[in-house]
Amino acid sequence: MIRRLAPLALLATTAAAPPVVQDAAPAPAASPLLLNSADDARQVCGERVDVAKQLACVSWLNGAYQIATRFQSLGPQLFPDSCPPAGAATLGRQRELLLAWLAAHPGERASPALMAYRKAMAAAFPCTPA
Amino acid sequence: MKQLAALLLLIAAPAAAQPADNPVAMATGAHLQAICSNRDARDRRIICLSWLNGAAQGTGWFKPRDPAQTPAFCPPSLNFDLAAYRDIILAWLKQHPADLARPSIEVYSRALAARYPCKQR
Repeated sequence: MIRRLAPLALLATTAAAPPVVQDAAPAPAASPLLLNSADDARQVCGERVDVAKQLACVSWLNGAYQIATRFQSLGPQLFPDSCPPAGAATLGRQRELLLAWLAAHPGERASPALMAYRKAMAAAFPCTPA
Repeated sequence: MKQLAALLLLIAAPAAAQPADNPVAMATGAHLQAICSNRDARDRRIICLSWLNGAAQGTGWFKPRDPAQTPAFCPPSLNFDLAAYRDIILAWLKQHPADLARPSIEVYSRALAARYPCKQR
């Protein structure tokens, strides 16, 4: 997913790496708080001390979950729908499921974070055909 | 950080059953307004922009189950700007105070659909 990086980049908690002499300036690394990749999700949602990262993880899950409850996927192979029973998908549970899925699928770390989230949720709460 | 206790509630309770007085739940338009209009508190900026980020990342990949409640929107570019989305939603709530009582995802969809309507084919 592409978006302007400025708003959340302001939230980055780590300083940029020291400059390195080279021919071309490297592109600035995107903050993991942007949750662009599954590996960002692993880093941010796996955080147990930094409250900023915990807030970012849970709030991102909250937004993604609210979309999932009201919108249907147009590309279920990439972004499958999920059907959790009422009350089963607390945000803490969603975080656990996402982290467990990422641990079980290390090859997916470069995938979009939302794709990993949707697959993790669908694996835990598959929709039964109508 | 003052939001820590509220965060713990958010993690433990079902997303659809958040206490009405816990704005970090981002469950209603009033929550969106309370959290996203505060530009000074870093924790609130994180909650607002991260919630918008989670909601917006799938733009173009999903269709509304009930377009009357959560209309589709078609931004000119998927190079979306979370701060612009925030401003659009806050302006919508200012103009439509009845939406403060609506679920936040409905407010999100209605505000962005009004700004970025999808052209009929």
